[in-house]
Amino acid sequence: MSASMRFEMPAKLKVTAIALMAIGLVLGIASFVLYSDTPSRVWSGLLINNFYFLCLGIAGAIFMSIGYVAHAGWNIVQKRIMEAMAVYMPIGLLGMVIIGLFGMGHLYEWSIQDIVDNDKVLQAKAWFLNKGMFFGLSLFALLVWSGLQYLLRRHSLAEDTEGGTKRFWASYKVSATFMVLWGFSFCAAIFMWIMSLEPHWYSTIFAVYVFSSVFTLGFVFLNIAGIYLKGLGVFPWFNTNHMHDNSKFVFAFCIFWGYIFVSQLLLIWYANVPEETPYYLLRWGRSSEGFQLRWLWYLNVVLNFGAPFLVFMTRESKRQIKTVMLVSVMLLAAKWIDLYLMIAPGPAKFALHTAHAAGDHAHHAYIGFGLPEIGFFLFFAGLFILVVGHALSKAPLVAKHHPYLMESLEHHV
Amino acid sequence: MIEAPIREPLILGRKSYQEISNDIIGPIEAKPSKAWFAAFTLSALVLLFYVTGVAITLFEGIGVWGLQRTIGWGFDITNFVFWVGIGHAGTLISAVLLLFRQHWRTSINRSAEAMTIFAVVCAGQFPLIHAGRPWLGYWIPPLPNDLGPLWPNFNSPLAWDVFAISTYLIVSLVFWFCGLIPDFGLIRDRTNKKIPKFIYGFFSLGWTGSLKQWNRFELVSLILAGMATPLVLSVHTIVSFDFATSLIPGWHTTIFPPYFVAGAIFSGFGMVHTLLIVVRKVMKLESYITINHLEQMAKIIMVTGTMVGIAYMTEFFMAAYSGYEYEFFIFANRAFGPYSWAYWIMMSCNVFSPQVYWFKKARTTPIFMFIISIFVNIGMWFERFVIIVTSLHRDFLVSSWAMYTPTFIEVSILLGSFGLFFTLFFLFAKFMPMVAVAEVKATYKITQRGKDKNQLNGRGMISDARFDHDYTYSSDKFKRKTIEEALAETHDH
Repeated sequence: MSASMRFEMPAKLKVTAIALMAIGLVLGIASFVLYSDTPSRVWSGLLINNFYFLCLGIAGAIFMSIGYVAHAGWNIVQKRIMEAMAVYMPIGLLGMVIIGLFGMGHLYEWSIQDIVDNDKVLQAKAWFLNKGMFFGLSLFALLVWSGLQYLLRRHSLAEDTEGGTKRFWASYKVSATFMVLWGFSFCAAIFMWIMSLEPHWYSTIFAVYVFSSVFTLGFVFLNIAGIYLKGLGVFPWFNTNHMHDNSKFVFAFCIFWGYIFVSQLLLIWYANVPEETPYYLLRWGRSSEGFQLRWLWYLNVVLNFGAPFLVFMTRESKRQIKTVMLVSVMLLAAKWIDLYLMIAPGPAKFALHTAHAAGDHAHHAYIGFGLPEIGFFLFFAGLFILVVGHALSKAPLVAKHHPYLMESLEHHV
Repeated sequence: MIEAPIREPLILGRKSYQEISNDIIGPIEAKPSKAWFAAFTLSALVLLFYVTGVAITLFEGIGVWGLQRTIGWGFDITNFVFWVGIGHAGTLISAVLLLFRQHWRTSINRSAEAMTIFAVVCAGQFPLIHAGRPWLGYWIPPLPNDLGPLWPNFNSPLAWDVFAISTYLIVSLVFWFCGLIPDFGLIRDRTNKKIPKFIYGFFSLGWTGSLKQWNRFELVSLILAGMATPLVLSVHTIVSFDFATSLIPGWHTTIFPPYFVAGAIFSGFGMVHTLLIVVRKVMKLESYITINHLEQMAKIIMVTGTMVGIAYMTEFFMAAYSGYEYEFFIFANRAFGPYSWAYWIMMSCNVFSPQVYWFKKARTTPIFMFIISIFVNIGMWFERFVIIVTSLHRDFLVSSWAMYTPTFIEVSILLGSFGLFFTLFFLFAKFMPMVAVAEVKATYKITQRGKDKNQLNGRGMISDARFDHDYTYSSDKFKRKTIEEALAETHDH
């Protein structure tokens, strides 16, 4: 057998990850000091980046579960990468709990009793938008999602030594359970974590919108990790055909994202009712807050839909490492921008209104791109690399006794 | 291309290509059975309800329906959306499952595509009928205005609908026909009778089965699949826009597009189940449309049913969450108002009933699946009824609240549309191959290899013991390899 099937985290990668974490931590702490006049900005930077990497963790978890439930054969060689991604998931979920514990008052308008007392809409929503519900949902996700993924991982590792199909069918059942529990609670959690940042606004499609990004991000990362590991020489089983199929999914889910994006935008634009339009007006710089994100908003559509749609249209582009890496890196940025546009304006608006209510009309950097956004990104990126790398090195890179492994090894598109 | 032994075989029994042809083409060549005649006559009789109902409507005007100023859409648009929805499974099976390389689609895609086309044919009539003046039907396409004071309104989702549905019909038809070409060629070559030989020969477009033709055939299937895949989403998305672009509570909600698509796939597979469970028995196709096929579809029905359930709950949740009292009123009225019976029929048929498919026993018992598929059909019809009627019957102005009761004529048009659908379907079953012979043969070799009966346990799987000790595969090169050998072959394709 060529290659030992084992991945040892190269010292260079380890050092880079730790350096990223350290720099990120310093920048993050510095931003708490430097942006002491707008703590909401720092917290939203933390939320964006924690949630971004949480999405990657979730992607690993759902790919694995969908794979079992759908009897997917082609992608088994990259199953250990998905498992490693899922190992990160509890950390991201813990991050949500921590953000809730310490940053809630800076992010979520509905958590401030004085504001709710003077706001009829928020009073009507108090049955859902309350601390108990926030922590209830977050802890449910932390315990149940991670618990089921832990079971999957255990079955998978046991399968390596035991062989047979017993572990496969056990994982099949766990996966089906996970998909149902995850599906319902993910919707509620997204409404809670992200949509309630602008608590007066609502959109029923919102969870589907986030879901489409999770899917794309996951496949993008699978490609990057696969190409990286192959480059190290420890992962020769990952070949052009797997990359091709991952890229097809990236292509498909960029279109799906565009579809959901348009569904939400078109219906809100068409009906033009004041309950719904403020979400877009705030981002287009057409509300009294004057946050000018219009060009970023256009760029978001181009990067998340237009560019991958055009580039990944042909077969060859999905089979060339250079093109795939280019699109992958672009989409990593694009999905970050998409999350930024979803998350940042809400707390900024909240902070601005709070300041105005207190008579503070001075100019503050409520929204922008700077230390908090970059710092926490570096921190979580380092953490993610460390956790995923560590998880990858814990087990052979190929799930050797998975019943569908051979289909994946011989996969040919 | 190899397939893991854990996958169940697609076709039961070891058949030669000749036997496959005989099994599927045989019924076309033979005289129609008594059962076929009985079924066809019954459908044609039911079709008479449709003809009569539509004739009365056209002579008298749509005043013979139960619609009034408050409820402007009733059975007409409910039927329209219902039939469009049914038409979704065919393209999903033929296009999306093709792109996903789901070989099990080959046994069911032909009949599902046929069903799609007939369902869209049924659906397409309702916008025409409900406008009341079919002699002005050509106004439905947005014609440039040299006819009068009307100008086509491209802002209207009703105009988008015309494009969406006609595109869908055309692409589905082309897809279906292209798939039929090799099979028509086969029928042509097998028959000695003059007239069938001429007709099938004409439609087979001179098919010879040369390598080049197969190459083109594969290519065109892939291109059409690529084109049809967005259509699976777009048609029902635009149908949902008919409602969601309005300001009516219960209609205007952003989740409508994906939720309608999920519901359409759900109802489409429900109808495929209904038809195929009967057809495989009557036409003795059990070894082609196996329990395994039915089980796969049952799983899709369960998943899409649950997705529809999430959408129902999201809508209800958001009505409560939004604090928008009119929206919440509509939902409370749906669940507990005068039409609550319809709402709970919808809920129990669409969300609760498919949950029995969590049990393997339920997913593998045809009679049970048949019953659930009827529930799914009923539930999805009622979903559209609930959406349309309950949102309209109590609007913002209490003085205009009303109840809607369909007249006998509306009911007979609904009933009769099933007659139209089944008449077309039985004609298809007699004159065209129900299963795509060429495609089944193409996947047969791949999926059957190494699955001799003695290797299989009761569930059609390779036994665990064998799996442990002798875990080998045979690849295309007909040599057996162990995993270690395969892992060692690290060449890049």
